[in-house]
Amino acid sequence: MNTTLPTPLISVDELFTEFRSGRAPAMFNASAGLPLTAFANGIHVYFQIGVTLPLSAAEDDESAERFVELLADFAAIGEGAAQIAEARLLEIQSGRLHFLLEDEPYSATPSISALHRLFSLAHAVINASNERLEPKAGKHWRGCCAAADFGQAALLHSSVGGGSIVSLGNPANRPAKRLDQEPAVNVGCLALPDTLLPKELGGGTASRWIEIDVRKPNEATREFLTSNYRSQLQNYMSTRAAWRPRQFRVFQPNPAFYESAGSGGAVNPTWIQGFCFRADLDGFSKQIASAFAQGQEAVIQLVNRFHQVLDFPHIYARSIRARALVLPWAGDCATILLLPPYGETITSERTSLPVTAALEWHKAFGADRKFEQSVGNARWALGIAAGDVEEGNDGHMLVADLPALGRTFRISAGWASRRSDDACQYPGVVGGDTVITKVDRRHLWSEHAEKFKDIGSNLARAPLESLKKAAEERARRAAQSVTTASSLPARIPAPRPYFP
Amino acid sequence: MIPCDAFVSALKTCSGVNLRPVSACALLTVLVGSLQLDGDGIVAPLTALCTVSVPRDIEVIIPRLACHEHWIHNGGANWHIFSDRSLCIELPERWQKQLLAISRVFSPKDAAKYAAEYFLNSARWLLTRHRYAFENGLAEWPQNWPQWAHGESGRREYFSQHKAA
Repeated sequence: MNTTLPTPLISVDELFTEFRSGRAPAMFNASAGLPLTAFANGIHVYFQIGVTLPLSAAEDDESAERFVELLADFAAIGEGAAQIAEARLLEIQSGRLHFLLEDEPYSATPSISALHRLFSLAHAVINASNERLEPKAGKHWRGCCAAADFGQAALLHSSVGGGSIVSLGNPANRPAKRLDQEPAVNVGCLALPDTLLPKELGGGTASRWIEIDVRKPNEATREFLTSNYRSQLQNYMSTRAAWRPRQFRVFQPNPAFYESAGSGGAVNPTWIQGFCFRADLDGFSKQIASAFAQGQEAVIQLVNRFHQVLDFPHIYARSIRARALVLPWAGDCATILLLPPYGETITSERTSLPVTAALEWHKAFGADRKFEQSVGNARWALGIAAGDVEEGNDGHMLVADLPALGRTFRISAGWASRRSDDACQYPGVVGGDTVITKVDRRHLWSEHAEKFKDIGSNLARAPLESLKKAAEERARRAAQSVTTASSLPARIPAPRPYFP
Repeated sequence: MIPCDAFVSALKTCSGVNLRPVSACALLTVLVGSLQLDGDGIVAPLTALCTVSVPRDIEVIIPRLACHEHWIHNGGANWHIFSDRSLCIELPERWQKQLLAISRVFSPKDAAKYAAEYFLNSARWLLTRHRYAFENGLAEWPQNWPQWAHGESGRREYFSQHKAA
């Protein structure tokens, strides 16, 4: 290892202490701007609950409150499970938990004990979700599933969007992507690459995902898990303090909310109306994989470069004309909610905001060479969604800071959140693409709309160059003023305003 | 003379106009409603909430257009907007000369229809520029966008062009 390279490595414990403190992320070397980074070898497992859209896009206050409480319960399950399984709860997103189960530092394959913890954790969380959440969700409940992978990842603490632990590495990335893909992981199942599995559970060498139903384990699976986690988690959930009455009362946006959104302060559960904007760094996962193959030094360099980008969502939020609420990073994916001015609806934003927001992202990112150099040849793929009254709950989303681990995790939920994620993750979408929903395309200026070509049944894609051309064309037309035909055989003079 | 009532009727029947009279007196008819923005051949399902005050003598005084949308630029003279949010869509002398010429050739009813189309075209053009500025964060009226110079200079500019033509 090159001894001249600063090694801002800390343990995962130290990183979590920093994270829980709620302080801004500390630097290893403030003058050099090097972020404190932890390396972790282990299993990354994501749990995802499914609820139907009518609940997650609840319009009345009572349903909305019920939905936030359901998400808070899920977060509480995650908090309890982390303690019981000695797992690290890295992220809480809307309906999704991300855990790390640390393993031997240099092992290339998961240890039997790590797999044992994984299956036990999955058995406990999936069953606890069914027991606790299904009664609350009722007919809207679609169950819980999970996906996991093993390997090395770099972890760093970001304060963006209220704070999160950002995981960089394929084992953190792949299971999240698997949960987004079709065919969906079956309810009650844990999906994982079959190369990780013991042969007793069907493991092999083929590069494919295998699903194991962990709700009621069969004889073979039972060998790899303990029901103790499940009973401890049941006990944890039944003895933990109940939520305060109306703790998750959902508010309409008010000036205080907009103030908090702008300053990065905490927000009450709030119904907002706007666009969900996601920016996924396409190609960065390959760079991470390559860096891990080269060794720790290459990974540290990559993390240092990525760290330069972490604050970019805040820079973007200041540069774009719309109000913006920044959510935490999810791996190399940034999420920002774009809101209309206070007191306005998004109706008048629909004609242009998806396009101007996309162009502004690339423009602001390209304005500072530091950013472009930081990501190498990776490029941003953008997914943007709002929906209208016919489809998508008219851009309404729920934003809340969920309590867990002695701090809060900011989440957003609703049709737009889900569809913008689908847009980024759609197969074939690459860096430079902007993907919107067809329903949002209907509301664009026609010359913008025609640049978005269908992909799949719900989405449409435009490459960056075509959006730039459309913007140039629009600028050219805006400068034009020509005589026009009238209903009489006399032309109307070219418009030309005046001021006395 | 172009009849005010004929102008109002013509305006209401133009495509993308959804205005209804809210008050009328001997001097003025006031209409409130929405105008669809479809200037420059660009179509968008976007309307602007407006008030149009139509004077009796429309061949002399341009109907007053006020827009109540939040995206209207509050840039004063440079954006052709008065403090009461009404917009100055055209040089009065040009409006007068054009309508006078039309009135001499066509019937009052046809002239009213022409005046409505003229008004609407200028109104939409300016509203669309305000909208463009909002969407693209323009603070200043771009130099390459047409406008008459402010005040007396604008009049001189028009008369010199008119004379040359």
